[in-house]
Amino acid sequence: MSVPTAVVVASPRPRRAIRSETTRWLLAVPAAVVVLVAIVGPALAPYDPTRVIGPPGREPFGRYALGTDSAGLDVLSRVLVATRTNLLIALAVVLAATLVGLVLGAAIGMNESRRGPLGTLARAVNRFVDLFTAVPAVIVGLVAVAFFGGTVTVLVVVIAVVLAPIQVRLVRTEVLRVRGEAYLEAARMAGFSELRLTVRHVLPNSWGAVSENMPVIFGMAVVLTAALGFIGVGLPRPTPEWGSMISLGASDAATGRWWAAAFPALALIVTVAAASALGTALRARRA
Amino acid sequence: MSAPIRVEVDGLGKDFVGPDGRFTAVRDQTFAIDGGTRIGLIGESGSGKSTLARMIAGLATPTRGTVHVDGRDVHRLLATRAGRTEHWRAVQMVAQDTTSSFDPRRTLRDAVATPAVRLCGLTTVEANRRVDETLAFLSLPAALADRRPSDLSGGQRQRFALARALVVRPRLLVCDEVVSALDVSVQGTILNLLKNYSLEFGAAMLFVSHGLPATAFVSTSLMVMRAGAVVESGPVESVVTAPAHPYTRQLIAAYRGTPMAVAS
Ligand SMILES: Nc1ncnc2c1ncn2[C@@H]1O[C@H](COP(=O)(O)OP(=O)(O)OP(=O)(O)O)[C@@H](O)[C@H]1O
Ligand SMILES: [Mg+2]
Repeated sequence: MSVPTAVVVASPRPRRAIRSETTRWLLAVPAAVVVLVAIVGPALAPYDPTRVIGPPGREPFGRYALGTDSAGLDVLSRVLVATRTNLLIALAVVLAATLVGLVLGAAIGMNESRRGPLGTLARAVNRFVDLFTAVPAVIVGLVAVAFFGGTVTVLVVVIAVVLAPIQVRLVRTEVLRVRGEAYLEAARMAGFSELRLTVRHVLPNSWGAVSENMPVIFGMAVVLTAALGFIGVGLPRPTPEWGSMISLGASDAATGRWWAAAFPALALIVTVAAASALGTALRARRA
Repeated sequence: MSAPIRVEVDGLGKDFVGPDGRFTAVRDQTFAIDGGTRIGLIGESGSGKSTLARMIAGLATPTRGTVHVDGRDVHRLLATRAGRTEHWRAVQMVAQDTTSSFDPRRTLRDAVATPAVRLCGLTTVEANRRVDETLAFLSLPAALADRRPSDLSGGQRQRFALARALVVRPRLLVCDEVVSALDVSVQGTILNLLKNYSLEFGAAMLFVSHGLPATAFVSTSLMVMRAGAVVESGPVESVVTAPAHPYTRQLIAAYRGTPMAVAS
């Protein structure tokens, strides 16, 4: 009898799965709070967020809870209203990017290995999507805003176009996986067309991974919206929006008046972190 | 009993294009399958049995040649909705069990009833009755049908896969290694059920297998395949007792002393 000598091959320790239901719910709490702020926040705003309501550069935690910015606008009111704006933009982006992802990803995945014109088209679209992934968002944003003006719709379209390729590729990967499953052949033998098959079996079985990625896209959309606002190709001032608030407040921060930039930045960070935590909670569901 | 099927395979061949060029998996084969016959298609791994079977069933597109079922070109038939319904009502195929034989998001009853509804035009109530009959025929407890596919053992799942095919009462059933993954006693039971189905409904069967004994038990004739071509075919008796091709002789010799010897 031989006693196995301890040859332990170092393997990367798998990340511990989140098993507890409670932990999963707790991870979703920050996201719920952020959404709540977006819903009721604007109603709680003490002042009109686009009007000068006091002297510029007032310190926070006094008469103005979060101070006033260099133009004399109320920072708290602006952060609250901006939360709704930025969240709505990101939400619309997530929905649009996911819808595009499902349609294009399924169309590519189901057809790319086909012979004939449909296969050629699917492969061409796939290449095009890959190409698009390489286009920087800022350039797309600059061009689009220059052409169409800085409206919520333009922003949503621009950011969705930039982020949709991620969902397209994810859906395609899932579709390629599901396409090889034996039950698809069985569905084919039940007389379903390829389109019906996709809707009935392929997309529902791809949805898990796609929905888990939605918070990730959301976080990216929040950051991109703010980035475009920061460089001045977002919504026109003085529309409350985190990015433009941060950029406007940044010059004050250099002179010690940190609040006009810090509070919108904090809102941004908390939102992105909340989205990330929600993503973790969703992924843990399947583990 | 419905009209016996007639399947004509004419010059049927398939090439795969791989990284190192064209590879011929099936060399242009011509033969016919008649209603009521049960053919054992045997041969070594990689000889092209599955590829041939899938083309006959209509699941793979031939590179060359045609398959006609009752005089109609299968691959032309499959291009239209009505044609698909007609074809899949007549021909069904079951492959070796895998965990993905069933959609994990649907119940087994749903999976088995769907072809009955879509292909045979049954109402949900009629389809469910048909499902129950079929499950009973395969000695499957009806209660299992409300479970998820992942709750079942491989053997149970394989019977459900057979139920899904048999529920439309196909006139040709193509079975690719349907029992290979099961233990020997279960293999015999299932093959006998399939034989009974063939006898009861006058259906043709194509059993693909690399194992000789189990197939020979339930088949009326054997086709021996090697390197993409059928090298020998005929009634089980004559192929087993007087194999003409050296490869067949080799195959038979490998099974001497197994239940095959008893069968012949
Ligand atoms: N989709 C495919 N693409 C490329 N080559 C394939 C494909 N399917 C099968 N082949 C090749 O065709 C040949 C025949 O395969 P096939 O699956 O028909 O053999 P088989 O007789 O069923 O073997 P087994 O007994 O192992 O199931 C093999 O060499 C295989 O590698
Ligand atoms: Mg095979």
